[in-house]
Amino acid sequence: MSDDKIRVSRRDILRGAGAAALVGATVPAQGAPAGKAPAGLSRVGPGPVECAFELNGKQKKITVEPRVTLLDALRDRVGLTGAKRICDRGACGGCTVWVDGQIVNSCMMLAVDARGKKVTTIEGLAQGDKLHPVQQAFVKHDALQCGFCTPGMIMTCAAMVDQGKAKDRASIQHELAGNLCRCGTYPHIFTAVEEAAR
Amino acid sequence: MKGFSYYTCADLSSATRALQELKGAAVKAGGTDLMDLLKERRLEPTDVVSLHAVKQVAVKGELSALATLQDVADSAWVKENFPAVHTAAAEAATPQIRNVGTVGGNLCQHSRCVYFRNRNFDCHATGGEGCPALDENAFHRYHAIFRGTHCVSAHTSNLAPALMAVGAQAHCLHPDGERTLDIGLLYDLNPAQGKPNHLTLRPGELIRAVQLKPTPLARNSIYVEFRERQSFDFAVASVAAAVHVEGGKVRQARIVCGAVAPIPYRARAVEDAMIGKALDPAKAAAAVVADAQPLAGNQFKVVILKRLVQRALEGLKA
Ligand SMILES: Cc1cc2nc3c(=O)[nH]c(=O)nc-3n(C[C@H](O)[C@H](O)[C@H](O)COP(=O)(O)OP(=O)(O)OC[C@H]3O[C@@H](n4cnc5c(N)ncnc54)[C@H](O)[C@@H]3O)c2cc1C
Ligand code: FES
Ligand code: FES
Repeated sequence: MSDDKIRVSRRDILRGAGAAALVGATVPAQGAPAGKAPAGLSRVGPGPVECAFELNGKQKKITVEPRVTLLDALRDRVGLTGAKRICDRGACGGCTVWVDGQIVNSCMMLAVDARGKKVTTIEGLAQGDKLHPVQQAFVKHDALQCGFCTPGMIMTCAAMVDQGKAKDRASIQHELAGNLCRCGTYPHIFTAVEEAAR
Repeated sequence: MKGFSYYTCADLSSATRALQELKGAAVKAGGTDLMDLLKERRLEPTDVVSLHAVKQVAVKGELSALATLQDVADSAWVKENFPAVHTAAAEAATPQIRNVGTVGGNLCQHSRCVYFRNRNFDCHATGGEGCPALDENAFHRYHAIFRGTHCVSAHTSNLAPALMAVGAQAHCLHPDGERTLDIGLLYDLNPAQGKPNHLTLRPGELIRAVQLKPTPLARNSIYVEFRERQSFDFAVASVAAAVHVEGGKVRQARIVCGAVAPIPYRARAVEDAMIGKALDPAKAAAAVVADAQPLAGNQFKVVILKRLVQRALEGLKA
């Protein structure tokens, strides 16, 4: 088997399924007829819905069912796999992204709720080759081991530095409470954030 | 997660009217509680109505139900006049959840009972009989030490005890109009079979806002909790307390405990017994736990609650 064949990943298969679902969108949805909603409400789904939002500074349009989380949309439809799917329950921070500049768990948010918003992922944090000061400090202070928590860690740390919330070690710990690291890299992370905040 | 139709609305009145038509629809504010229930297929609604797009109207003296926990934690007005509410919001969940989770969702969150959250179990709340947590071999470390009739789950809202301690009220909206309830009256200790929450809200009724009145009692309030992890965790037990003391005598007192009963537990008899006397934290703490009926696996919670009540009262101006 060639390398190329081996590299067909679960995500590629899911992306394929996405395309199939798109075709399926012409099939009438069960339940209420599409578009019909009680007064004052607008309705989408249960079939695929077009979601337009700004992703890392560029306009992006994807088509997903309302039940798809922003995390799954980013990873499986857009192909940005920086945000990690670890607990999928809002309890580890591995999937942290910014929505309109605020850190959120993308696993706890529906992709349809990102419509019209600005989403920033770890892939959009550096300006070209110029790393964010927090990324630079992570490199310098060896603030990662296996690296699985790192994209989420950096998104949280970069937000707290940019928002001036990294005042001292206690406030850094409080702001980082939603990001878990199984490798226990915390001391190096705290040092990196302290330096980036200076 | 099962597929669903997704509805957005611009204001709560259209949502509450629409909910009369969309029977069985789930309501989503920040979604940080609801998403778990949908992913576990504990709830499988065909319609989900989102309040996400409702514009938050910040009125002085009111917290919008759509305000986030972080909005509450960041409010200088709340911090100065309702310290218990400030701490309860600032210590809840994680920064990520606080940015999204709302006041209304926090008050209306479902039980974290491990059996309720697992669709392989049935109980009174899911339309079945009995309570798996009452089995002697059950895992009930985090369950109630004050019981309801059918359910020994523990109510884990941070905000509910704090808002009750400062005498807050909820403005609730339904198609016929609005009613205003003390926060404590939002909760029903013995809900009907098949009702997945302990709320007194009617089908489709929504909390619009929480009313806060600065009073001497509210200003002298405190929230303390015990959790097993330093970073974040649901409280094993929490206490919100407030006292108004004049001339060395207690004129008004509130002690409300979280995570120890299926709904926030207000120790009314203890509050009454404190009136007219000097504040005695140790005596009050012993009195609060006197009626506790712990399960085999959570007797430790009685000791923790007692210490928390004492610590809370010692932290107030006497
Ligand atoms: C990792 C993690 C940690 C957590 N830690 C804590 C904690 O320490 N303390 C704590 O208290 N909670 C905690 N939570 C629970 C919860 O997510 C938050 O309390 C949050 O405030 C819920 O708000 P929401 O808007 O996201 O709720 P949603 O999920 O949107 O709604 C929850 C319920 O409330 C109903 N509802 C929402 N708004 C209204 C309204 N205006 N009127 C009527 N009904 C309404 C919904 O129909 C739904 O049934 C935690 C959750 C997670 C995932
Ligand atoms: S994957 Fe989202 S918080 Fe763990
Ligand atoms: S570096 Fe391995 S989990 Fe954090």
